[in-house]
Order: sequence, then C-alpha cells, then structure tokens
Amino acid sequence: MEFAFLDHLGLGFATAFTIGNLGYCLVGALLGTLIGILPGVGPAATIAMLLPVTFTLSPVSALIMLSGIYYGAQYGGSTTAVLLNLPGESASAVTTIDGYQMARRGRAGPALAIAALGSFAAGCFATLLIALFAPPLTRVALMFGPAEYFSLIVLGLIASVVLARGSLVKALAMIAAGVLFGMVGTDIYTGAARFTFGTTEMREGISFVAVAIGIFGISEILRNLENERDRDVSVQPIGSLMPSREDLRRSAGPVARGTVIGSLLGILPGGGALLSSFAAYALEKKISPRSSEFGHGAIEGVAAPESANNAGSQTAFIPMLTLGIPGNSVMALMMATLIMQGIVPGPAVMGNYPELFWGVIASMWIGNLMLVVLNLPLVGLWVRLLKVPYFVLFPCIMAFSAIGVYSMALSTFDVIYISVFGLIGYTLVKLDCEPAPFVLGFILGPMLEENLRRAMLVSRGDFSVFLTEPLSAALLFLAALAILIVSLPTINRKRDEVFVED
Amino acid sequence: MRLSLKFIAGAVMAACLGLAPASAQDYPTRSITIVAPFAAGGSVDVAARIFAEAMSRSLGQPIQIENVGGAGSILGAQRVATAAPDGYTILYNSSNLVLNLSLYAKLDYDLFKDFDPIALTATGPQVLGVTKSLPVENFTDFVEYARAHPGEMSFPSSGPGNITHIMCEMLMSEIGSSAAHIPYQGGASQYPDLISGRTHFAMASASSMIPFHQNGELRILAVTSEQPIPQLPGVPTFAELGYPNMTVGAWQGLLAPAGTPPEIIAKLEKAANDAAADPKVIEALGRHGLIPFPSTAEKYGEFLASEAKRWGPIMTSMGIQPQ
Repeated sequence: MEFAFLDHLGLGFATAFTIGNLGYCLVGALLGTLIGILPGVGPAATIAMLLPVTFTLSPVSALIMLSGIYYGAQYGGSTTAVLLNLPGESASAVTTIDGYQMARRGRAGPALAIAALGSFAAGCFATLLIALFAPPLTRVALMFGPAEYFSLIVLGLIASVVLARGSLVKALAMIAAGVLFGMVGTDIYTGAARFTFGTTEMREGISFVAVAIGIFGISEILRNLENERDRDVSVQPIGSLMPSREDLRRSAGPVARGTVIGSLLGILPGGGALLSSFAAYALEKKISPRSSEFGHGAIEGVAAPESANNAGSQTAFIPMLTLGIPGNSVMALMMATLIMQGIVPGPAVMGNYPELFWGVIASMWIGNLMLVVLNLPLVGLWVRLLKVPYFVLFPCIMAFSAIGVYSMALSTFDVIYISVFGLIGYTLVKLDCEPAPFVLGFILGPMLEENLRRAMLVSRGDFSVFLTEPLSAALLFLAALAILIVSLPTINRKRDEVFVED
Repeated sequence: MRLSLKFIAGAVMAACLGLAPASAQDYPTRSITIVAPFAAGGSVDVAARIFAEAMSRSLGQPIQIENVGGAGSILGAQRVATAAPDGYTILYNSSNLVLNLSLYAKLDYDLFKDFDPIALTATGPQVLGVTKSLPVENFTDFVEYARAHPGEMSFPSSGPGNITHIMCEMLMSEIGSSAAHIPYQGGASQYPDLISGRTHFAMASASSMIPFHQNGELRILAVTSEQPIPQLPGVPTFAELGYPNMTVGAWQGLLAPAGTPPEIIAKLEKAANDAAADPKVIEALGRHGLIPFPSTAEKYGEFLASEAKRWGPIMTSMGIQPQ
C-alpha cells in the first residue's frame, strides 16, 4: 500500500473541497447539531425525512450531507447531556454522569469545549485509520461471531460495575433491572411476546430514547422542582467558558485512550459504537489517579466517552462502505441513499467509485473541523441557556421531549414511556440508585441474550464454544480478571471511600 | 354511551357517503398520505417512495410517506384500517400482512373486511446463496450435500415466520433434508456470520445478495423468479431445476380503508398501474431487485385471498404458532 493512501486522500480532498460539497457538509453539520440538541429527534428520523431531497444530489454530495447530520447530531446530543442531563443519543448517556455535574458546578463551558475538542481529535484519528486500514479492519469485524460478541458484552457489563459510585449491590441490581426492561417485546427467536401485557405497541420493545429522556431528563426536572432554590445550576456563577491549561492536560490521555477504544469497537456492526463510550468511561475511572472525582464533575469523564463515541461513529462507516453491512439504523439509511443512486454498497465501492469513498472520508475530517469552528463560539450561547429562568425552561424541555419522542414513531405510547420512566428515574434517585448502570443493562441485556442464544444455536448447544474460540476465550479471561480486581479488598475500600465522600 | 357514539359514527359515515359522489369526482383535492408500516430505509420503504413520487405526478397532488413501523406491519395497517375511507390515507403493504395471519393470534383488524384492495405494485425475487466454504458448486451439489448431512447445516432468517425463514424450510422439505434455523434481527445483520461460514446457506432478496455473489463471498445457486435474473448469468430458476413450488417471491401492494368510494379506488388503481409501467419507475425498482407487478383492484383481492390460503397451511405445517 505504501503511500497510495496519500493519493487516495488527495483525491478525497479534491472531491470534498468543492464549493458545493463544502456547502452540503456545512448544511449537514448545522442541521445535525440542531437535531442533536432537540431531545428525541435523532439523526435517523432526520435522514429519513431528507431521503427524497438526496435524490436530486450527486451520490457524493448526498452522502457528505447525511454524514454531516450524523456526526453533527453526536455533537449536539452531548450539548444537552451536559447542560440539561438530557442525552439526545444513546452514546451521550455516559456524558451526563460527569458533564452534568460539571455544569452544576458552573463549569459547563469547559465541559462543552472539551467535548468538542476531544471529538475533533478523535475524528482526525479515525479518518486517518479508515484511510489507512479500512479493508483489513473489515476482516476484524468478520472475526466476531455470536460467541465473541457474547464474551465482549460480558466483559462490558462486568467492567461497567465501576460506572456506579456507591453500593455495589445496588449497581448490580440496577444492571439486572435494566436487562429485564430490555427484554420487553417480541422474542426474535420464537416470536413470543414478552412482558407486553397484551398490547401491540409493547411488542416492539421499549424505545431507548424514551427511556433515556425519562430516566435522566424528566427525573432531573422533577428533582429540580422539589425546591426552586436548590437548583444550583443557575445559582452557581458561570466560570470561564474555555478549559484551563490544567483541564487540557488532564484530558489529553483520556481523549487518546477513548479514541482508540472508540475506533476499534466502532468497526463491530453489532452496536460496538454504543459500547465504546461506556467502555472508555469505565477504563478512565479505573486507571485515573483521581477516580474519586468521577461522578462529581471530572473532566476526564467527559473527554473519554465523547472522543470514543465520535471515533466509533466514524469507524462505523467501515463495515457499511466495504461490506454493505450497516452497523446501525443511520448506516442503513445511508445505504438506502446510495442504492437509490444506483450504487450498491459493498466490497466494490472502493474500487469502482474511489471519488465517492475517499470524498466521504475527507469530508468527515472537514465536517469535524467545521463542527469545532461552529461549536466553540456557540458554547457561550448554550451556557447562557442556563440563565433562562427554570419556570420557563422546564416546560420547554418537557414539550420538546414529548414532541421529539412522538415524532420518532408517531406513537403516543412513547410519550407515556417518558412519563413512566421519569417517575422511575426519580424514585431511583431518591433511593440512591444510579441510573447509568440501569441504562447500560437496558442496552446490553438484549444483545447479550441475542448473542448467547445464537452462539448456542450455531454450536448446537455446546457451551465450550466460548472457550474454544480464542478471541472469545481471551475476552472472558479479561472479564474474570476484572471480577478479581473489583473483589480485591483494597479496591473495595476505595469504593467505600468514594461512597463516604458522597 | 356506546349507542350514542355508534349513532354519531353512523351519522358521520352517512354524511360522508352523501358527499361522496361530489368529492370522489374531484379527488384528490389535497395531499395524500401513504402509510408505510415499516421503518424508513428498507427496500419496501424505498419502493413505496418510488411509487408515491410517480403517483403524485399523475394525480396532481403531493403524496407523503408516513412510516408507522413496528410489530411486523400491524401498527401501520391498524392505522389505515381505522382511517376515514376517503382515499387520503392508504397503506403500502408487503406480503408480511398475509404471513401475519398465521403469526398473530389477535389482530385489531380483519385483512379481508377492513381493507379495499387498490392494486399490486411490485414483487421481489428471492435467491438461494451459500457460504463460499461450503463444498458445493451448483444446486445439484447442494441437494446432495444437504441430503448427506441432514440437520448439520444452519441458515439465518430475518425472524421466525419471515419469508426468508419460510422459504428455507420449504426448500429443506422439498429436497428431503433439514437444517437449523438461526434468526437475526433485520435482513443485513445475517451477513457477517453467513460470509464467515458460521451459517451455511440463506434465502434472501436478490438485491441484498447479489453484491456478495459478485465479490465471491457467497455463491448464488438458484433464483425463485420465473425468469432468470439478468445480473446473475448462468444461475438457474428453481422451476428449471424441477422445483416449481419454490417459484414465489415477496410482493407489495396498495390497500385503502374499507368503504372507500369506487371512483377513488379506480383513480388510485390507474395511478399505481401507470406508475408500474413508467420506464423510470421500472429502472428505479430494478436497482432494488424489484420488478413491477401491476394488477387491477379486483385481481389484487383474489390474489390476497389465494396467498392467505397458500401460506396458512405451510406455516402451520412448519409448527409456527400464532402468538
């Protein structure tokens, strides 16, 4: 390959750097930021609505605009996660943990700025990675069968125990509860309806966005309404908007590690990008010398997951472009766009349409740059949002959340979900139970079950498959190691200290 | 209370029917909504959009697609079944609607009483593909291999009762063998395991499998269409191979709420059939592995009934229980 990739990138930048394509990139990034900020309105819904518009564009321009929406939404989603405890995207659920705490301490500006800068760094790295290694990385994705996915998720769930501060038992209980809620709906193996109370609506399962908005956002509103004077966000003076030198120094490592984790997990089509923000956060919390600050507004807790989810959302293009396998619903829509234009995504794209493949990759980098340029000055504006009197702000959040969730599937049932999960979230906060492990269980539980049962079907009920497949065995070994570390007395004491400090 | 509601509903219906001749003649005077009972982006959704675009040109009114996904088309179908029968809310349905009769014990609508057929629109041939590590070069090899290794192979599907599942079971019973069924969520997620040989063969839409065939990751051995597929030179049809029962495909059509005035149905039927004859539509459908499949409203009604009769016993014999 030598330096062929430089020629390729050159071709890509030549394609992306036309006035028209730069314009589409900007439109996409702007639109994406906007919908990311509106809770509930996700990139999938927006791209679906824009699908007819793209027929009139060239395939490159269409894809550049749609990918702009996609990573723009990741940026926007973290803005509300930090400011209002409202994760617009599943990937930004982790950012709420420390991001919102930072906002409550008057440090919303640095949190947002670090999220933007970390995402940019991650985006640059992921772009380079795709340019250099897209085809061999595709093979890595194919090495992951059901047994490997199962072991990876087991590792993820065990590592996630560190997500929680406070009682270990409560954290485990929350993960279990999340897994149970994730089971609601039609069993994909038998078609049986589970926990649906005979309703047709619940056969689809519970919408993740509704759960996240309810359990993080609505419950936070309820808590804030308990006592107007307690609402420390507006009471705290808003400090510096930009991160200090110290903030930058502390974030460098987490951004680098988050980027690597995100890039690797993003390649896996089965929800790897989702796992990456959780994994990056868990890793930082484990290795940081300031792990006691996590959950109380540690800047590392924003930098790591934000870089991971941006890197992951970018490397998620690899299986789509090189294999024609979409990793998530947004990728499926992008594939549909390409097919409408007469291009069938798959192994042939890179050879037959090099200007499309490399143009899109180059535009990712340009788009990320645009987002930083757009978002850094906007940080001041967003932070001023916190100055809006709460009695004005909270009905707006409620209304936007309800409209957003309703617009996803035009289902009033989803609006009921956010109310119910708002109450559940409020109860959990009152009981000192963390919502983050609940959400993780909710996301990973169904994936765990799906892959366990599929691995059993493929191996004809032979459990040894998890240990005879080398990759799976390695992942399980790491999981066992993690259990050992968590149960070691010294670490336990450290956890208790955190609890006392709370 | 119930009586008075019924009375009001009756009165409203009567009023609508009274107005029908005048409004049916002018139809359409405003934009039309086509409910697509699945998420945006899949091949059926794209086909719905291709037809909506062409039909809106000939009807002279915009047509918007409303994706009401979920529960294997049930939620979207229910929405149209209870919509006003005025031609402004219609359903773009797929063969799922017939398969659902055997999958769901309780449906909130009656496929034959709550809908008036408009027209069939398109059909998509399915193909049999095998993973490249399977030691078979053609369909005859495959039959031999399957008979020599009953129960040892496995195949993926997009879920129990899905057409991709039923066709594989049909194939196994036709050739007198058996294989393990491994369901996946959605059509595309089955491919990594199929390519890497964890599963062995699959029946899927031609459009989704052809790229892997061309790339050498999978081998397509036979197609379910009546004619061979141009992009697959040398690949025989099941009928040519002596398995005429396998000549089936997934199909799509348009349904209106029952009680829609016949004049309106006629206008929609003409618009749909004109669209199916439009070279631009045919080309766009072709990119998604679909062929136009036009019919009159009456023929569509008969087709629905015959499909229901055909699939019901097959699903029962496969042990699929309504839930």
